[in-house]
Amino acid sequence: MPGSGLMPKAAAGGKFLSYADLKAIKPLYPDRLAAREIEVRLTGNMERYMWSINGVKYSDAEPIRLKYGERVRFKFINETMMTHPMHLHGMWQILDNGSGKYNPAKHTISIAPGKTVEADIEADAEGQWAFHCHLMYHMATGMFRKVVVERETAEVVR
Amino acid sequence: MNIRKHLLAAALALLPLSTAQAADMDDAIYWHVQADKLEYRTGDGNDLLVWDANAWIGNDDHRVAFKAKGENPIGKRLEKAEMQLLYRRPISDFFDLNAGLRHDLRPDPDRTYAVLGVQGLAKHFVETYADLFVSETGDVSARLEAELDWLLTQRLVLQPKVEADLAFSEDSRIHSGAGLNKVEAGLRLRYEFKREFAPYIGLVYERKFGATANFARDDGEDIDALRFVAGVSFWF
Repeated sequence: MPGSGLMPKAAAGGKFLSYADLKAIKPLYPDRLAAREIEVRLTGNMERYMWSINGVKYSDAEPIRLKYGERVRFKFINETMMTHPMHLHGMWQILDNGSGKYNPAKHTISIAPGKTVEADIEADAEGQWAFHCHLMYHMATGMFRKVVVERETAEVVR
Repeated sequence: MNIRKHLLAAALALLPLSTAQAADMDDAIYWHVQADKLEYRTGDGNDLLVWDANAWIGNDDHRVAFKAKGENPIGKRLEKAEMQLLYRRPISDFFDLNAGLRHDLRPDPDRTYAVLGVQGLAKHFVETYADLFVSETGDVSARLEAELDWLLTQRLVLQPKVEADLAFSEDSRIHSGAGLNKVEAGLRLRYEFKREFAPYIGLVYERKFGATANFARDDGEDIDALRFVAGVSFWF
């Protein structure tokens, strides 16, 4: 489950909420298994103030390429000591919080330090999309990727 | 990562006013100027004005660095003044490699050295410097430095520091013997009004050893000295 698993005790009969409490009212997509998994390690060096994905900063990295119409699973592994709210533009991230076909669709998923979180993406939007940590200094110093969704076959132009 | 890109970045690092700043935000040219120590020392022997400053410019992978340090006895001739011009690059998560030239205006006669060194954050947050010098006369020497910041509060910081100078051969004209030449140990307490500006007070003990101590005795100098220091540390 995302988060530390340590839940403080709420006062006055209140309740602390976590990602485990999120549930889709109506699933946006048919429930199906992702065709493949893409590992997204969240990496950085706080002493040098360099941030990256899979150890490579944006300006040195190749885009993540998805096939139009496929469902892929992003496996986030946060290897740093900070939480990273990861935002994918253009498509939903369907957070696997154990709710099955009612897994919630989110724009941004926060991944706590040392945690592994999985989310599915339905690649239903062709084009080039930004995918980045939403802490602006992290994004600016390299924790950013271009996600390219492209059709598998090119049209033949005569 | 391709070599051409690295060479380009190194070239850019040499051109501080280059308008061709890297297009990508995460590959920008940054710079930093720091007067780590600028202090007045009083106690045994002469009072001294002592400085230790550095600057760098470059990106994540390639930097050009400049270091300057020296000692000026108050009311007397400049005693020590050295400068280093270095190429710097990361060699591990926490350590950088330095390579370049050092030139000492003082002591007299002046000396030029080739420098190869490492600097970085060692285990337990010990800021570590290790440099090897080869002088124009062929003499090889080394310097080791270690300092630690103890945060008594978020602003009040106690900093122990030790520095040792070693030489593998004698260079009598600059009064440097072979072996362990000099050790300096300091304890400074600074208050960071902000991260960029911190006045401090402290104590510094220095002692010369071996042939270097003999050179000092011959000059009628003490081989050791304990001094109170007051100074300021700042960067921008």
